[in-house]
Amino acid sequence: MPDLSTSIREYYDAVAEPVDVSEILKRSGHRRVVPNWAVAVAAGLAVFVLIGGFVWLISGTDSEVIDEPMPTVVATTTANIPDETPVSVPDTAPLIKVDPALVASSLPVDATKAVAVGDGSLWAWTDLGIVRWNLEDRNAELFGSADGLPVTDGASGGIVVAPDGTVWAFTSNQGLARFDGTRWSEPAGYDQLDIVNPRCVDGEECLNSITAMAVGPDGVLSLAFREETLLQLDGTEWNVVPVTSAEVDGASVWATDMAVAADGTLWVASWEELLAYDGDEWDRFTAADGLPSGKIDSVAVAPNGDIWIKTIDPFEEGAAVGVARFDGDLWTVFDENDGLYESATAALTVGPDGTVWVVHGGAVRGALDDPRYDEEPAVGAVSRFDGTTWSSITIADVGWGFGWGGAAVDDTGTLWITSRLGIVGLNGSEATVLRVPGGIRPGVDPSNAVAPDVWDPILSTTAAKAAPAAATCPEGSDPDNPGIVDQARPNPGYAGNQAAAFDRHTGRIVYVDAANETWTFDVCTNTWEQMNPIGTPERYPGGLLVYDADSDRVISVRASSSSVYDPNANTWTRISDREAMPGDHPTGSWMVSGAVYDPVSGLVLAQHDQLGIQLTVLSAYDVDTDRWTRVGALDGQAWRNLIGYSSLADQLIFAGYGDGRGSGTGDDTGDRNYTDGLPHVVDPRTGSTLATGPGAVIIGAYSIISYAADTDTAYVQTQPNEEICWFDPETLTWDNCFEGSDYPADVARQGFSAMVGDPINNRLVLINPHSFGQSPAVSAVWAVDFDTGQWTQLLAPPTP
Amino acid sequence: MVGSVEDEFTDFVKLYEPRLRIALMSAYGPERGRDATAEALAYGWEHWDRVSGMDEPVGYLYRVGQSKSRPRLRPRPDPVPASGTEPWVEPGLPAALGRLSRKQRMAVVLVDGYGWTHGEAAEVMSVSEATVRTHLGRGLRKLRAALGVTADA
Repeated sequence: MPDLSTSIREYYDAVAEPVDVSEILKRSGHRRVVPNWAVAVAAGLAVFVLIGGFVWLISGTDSEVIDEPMPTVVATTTANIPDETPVSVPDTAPLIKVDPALVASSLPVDATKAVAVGDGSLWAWTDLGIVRWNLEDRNAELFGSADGLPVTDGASGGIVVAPDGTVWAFTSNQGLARFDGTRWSEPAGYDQLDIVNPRCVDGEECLNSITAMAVGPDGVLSLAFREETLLQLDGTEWNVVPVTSAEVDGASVWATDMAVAADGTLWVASWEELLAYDGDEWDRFTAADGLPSGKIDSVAVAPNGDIWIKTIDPFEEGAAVGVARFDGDLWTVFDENDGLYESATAALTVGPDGTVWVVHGGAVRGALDDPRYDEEPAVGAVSRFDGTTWSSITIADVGWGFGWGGAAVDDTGTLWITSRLGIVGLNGSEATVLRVPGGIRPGVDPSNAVAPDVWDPILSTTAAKAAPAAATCPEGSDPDNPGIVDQARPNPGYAGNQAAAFDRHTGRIVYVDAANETWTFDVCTNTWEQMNPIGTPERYPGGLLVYDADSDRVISVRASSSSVYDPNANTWTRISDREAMPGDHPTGSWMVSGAVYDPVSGLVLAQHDQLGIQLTVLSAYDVDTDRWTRVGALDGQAWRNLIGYSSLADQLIFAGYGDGRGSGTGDDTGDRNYTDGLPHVVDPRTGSTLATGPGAVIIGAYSIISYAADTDTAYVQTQPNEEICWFDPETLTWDNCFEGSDYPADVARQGFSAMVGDPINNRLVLINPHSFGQSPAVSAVWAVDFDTGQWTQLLAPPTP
Repeated sequence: MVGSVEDEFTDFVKLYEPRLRIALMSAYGPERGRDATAEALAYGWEHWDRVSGMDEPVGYLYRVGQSKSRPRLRPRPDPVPASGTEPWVEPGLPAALGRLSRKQRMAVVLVDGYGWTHGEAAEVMSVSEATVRTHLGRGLRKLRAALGVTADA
């Protein structure tokens, strides 16, 4: 047979029928640019519409739901909405914006799998485990595996609050737990059931996964398994109800969701039909009964007994069909022609007062056409049915995945929606975002650290030399005084996550720009100087610069050709010992993913990854002997980057990465799993690795994250909130962030070409902000004070 | 003038359609992937003023296609071509590809199958190059294990 690569290519070539350009030209037209005057007219109309939209929020017929003005919801101007995209903001759906100030400070974890409310609490199943918020004081409590919860990375799951307040949670790979008010535990007898023997194995596909769960008014728990089986628990008795093909009549995927009516009827959503089980017989509802075609993925029971369903947006099959109501006799379908914001839906829920809420998620209709979302369509919408009419509103900046984890309504009528930001709450008087607490996870036990079998003692046996005296700013200098605008500057392009290092001896930042030119930045006068050194480091966007304090050199670390910069002689020298780095790389397929200076050993430490086999090796470089030493291989397969060292904890700080859109850093098996990018700390003396759990996954595309290794901890620029957060080595958390509210809103700061600590002025220096996409980087320098969090512009962009 | 713009777009499609299509098909299967490609290109044509100026439009249009072809909350079939339509290849290949996660499959198909660089795949997949390597390594390992072939085969 041909080799694997050829087989894959031939296979896809054979089935990948090209799209002919004539097909495109026939189906759509090239849009013309609209004159500015037309935009202005439209903007005026849109503002008028916006006012009307607030009326929606404050004039609902259910006054207990929406009965106050919205002082804390920030309305954005609609002046930028051109009239060529009228569908992006329908008349009934004005745009509101989640105020970042309302977002509690903690790193978000966006993979919220399910939400439920009950007993004064909001429950959310996240990648961390289950979070319970007290809805009165908004305090959060996090439950993980140490609390008995069957947390499994990558598994989807659900959570339900029973009428008696019992909380049930499941994972798709057959985990099941009940909360007793303190701890979670698996119900007795569950592990003896044939249906879960053998149990699914974490990390492997679960062929008979749990797909849905519901609890009836009588407390009976119902679990749907993928292999067309219904499992029920009545008190302590388990009952397996086989669901034959005849009963479900070949539903292609059964049990995507379940709900129990007041009379005990179990309603089961499946693709293309709805099933009703009264404990004895199954009834089926199909298109012939008036059910809308489409794949049903959500079912809810209203207080008046109406059954509501929503369908998956069947994009490839045709137009979305919205939601439908069954009143016990007839089905009524609601779509955008009836006032639903759009027929494509992300979540459906019914409040205790009977209000029906439909969430439209991610990139709703028209968002792609809205220039405000050129880079990342990120607007959601909510439709509300008061029993007679639908009304809707759009919500800006909610990110991808708005509502994909479901929604729930609490006793006060507040609608809670899963989102990338956290859990967004809308009650008509305020918009709140509850964010999943980041940082150290319950159940993270330092004794769980794993030490490798082989670890070179060089980092313990080598001692750093006395470092040259650190520079200080000359008396009379004012480091807060911005530098002269008219000065030579480095190339503002992206130069890497660690393209700068602070030379403590000279008090200057050494920076290798995107053009591979060497510059220094004087942090006392805020002035760039092009060094024009003898020699250059090997060109490498993303180059890792580390200042070796005891040798007073800057190392540009690469896998195959590192270089040493002598600031005093102004020379770059290629490292001669490249063949020894990291010691055994027969294929040469190594990359460097991070580097820091170890002030204990005086060596530069680099993380080397061997491509393809996920081997991560820590190496040490001694500039005095020009020698690399392979220290040891790190335990585990999870992807991580070495991004800092803490002298306080004597730990190397690694971070796992997620890209914030739900795509994975690791072995994801679905759309929104990225939990194996675990943060770690590693004892450099022993190699002992402690995974701190998935809670501190850094959100943001790797390519636009900046981080600062040359500080006494690690700083990262996070997404989507563009905060700079630092790692607290005492608590193993990333909870502390600089919001940057004093940073100009019109200057992109999704990342910086470099971030570097400035110990002279006790601040983090941020070089050349840039944004994701086509926007060019800005030539400017900012600083964040370590103590106050104040952002200061050290060098303004050049005058146009 | 319209003709020249159409010519520009035609050249654009010739240049980028194959890469866009294979990216979307590797992610979503042939039917949905091809539809998404068509939708993305249609969007590109409708917004030609914007798209024509992009240096690297494949990643952008991939996300457009991805959005037009909404991700699902629930598992869905058809991640790989349906059996019976493929040429002769290793019989277990389609099923083995189908058992990979979407990102693993994309990395394997784009990088290993079509020779994309890690950077090119990373741009389309909206992940880092390192993540592409992670998915590629794991995907190939799974694929080889499923097919019983060695790394050198």
